[in-house]
Amino acid sequence: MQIFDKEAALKAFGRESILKASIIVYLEEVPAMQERLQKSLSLPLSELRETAHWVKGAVSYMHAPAARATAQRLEELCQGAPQPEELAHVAGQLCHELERLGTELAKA
Amino acid sequence: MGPIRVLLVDDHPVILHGLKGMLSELDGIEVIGQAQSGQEALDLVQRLNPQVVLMDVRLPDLNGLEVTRRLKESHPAVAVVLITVSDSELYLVEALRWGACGYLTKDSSADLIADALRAALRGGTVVSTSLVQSAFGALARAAQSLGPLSADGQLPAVVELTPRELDVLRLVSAGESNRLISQKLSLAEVTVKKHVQSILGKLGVQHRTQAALLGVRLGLVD
Repeated sequence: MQIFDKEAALKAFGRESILKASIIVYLEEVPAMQERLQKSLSLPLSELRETAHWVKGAVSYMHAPAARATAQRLEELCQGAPQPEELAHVAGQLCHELERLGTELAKA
Repeated sequence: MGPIRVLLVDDHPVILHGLKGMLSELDGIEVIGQAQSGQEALDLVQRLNPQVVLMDVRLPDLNGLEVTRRLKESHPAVAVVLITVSDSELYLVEALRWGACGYLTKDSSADLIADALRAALRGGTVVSTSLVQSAFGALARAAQSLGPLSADGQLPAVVELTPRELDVLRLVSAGESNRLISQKLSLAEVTVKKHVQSILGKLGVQHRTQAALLGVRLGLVD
């Protein structure tokens, strides 16, 4: 799955300068997203679900299909009765996707 | 008439930054403030008097639906357009029920958002096509006899109903005939018929029963 859909992002943002400025702001948010994901693993499931949804909002805005899909999977997982290992695994995958996205955006 | 004064509300700095950047490029729109929570949004509406609030549905304290409800009570002239990452038709129904004038996905283009803001100010209602499709999906599950939704399977980029069309749709959804609608709204029957045709076209449906079901599902009629 695509890490960053630059074509769609350019179309949505309208101008490359706006996209580039938004990328800078997004990259500044990433450490907080990763930290919140890790912390949420030891909180009630509803908190992790909210965090997954919150991350999904940011990566959707940045037109990141892979990260969005992983955030969606984590959010759906939290709606059931998941095993802690499974949650940790998918949360870890999401952190990994955030890193991959960050690398891709830095090149854009 | 000056530019449309817009308040942005989202708990992601990148989204606030991006929206401000996108909208600032457009003529006739001015971003007058930004909030990162529901309570902050309510405080800034009181202080800054925006014409339109462009707001995330999910916020850390009061959610966008609750803020919309409160604004409709305290500042009824302020239009609210909600943005969401969720394609849940449930939020869509509630958003319109509480008085939102628009419901868009977060990856909407600047032009689409601007169209929604302008339509909201005119009293229209704008919904992203994907969200309408999501609502159609829910309708299809609930009413299997719905049949084909549009002649060519295409939906417009947005669905914008005028205030009068909303009035007509509410009465269609209540099962009223064109003749009764014309009497209730003091319109000629031929005018009602034209409104119904326009509604069917905009919603991408083929007959009034489908429009009625969608009207109920979208919360346009109780």
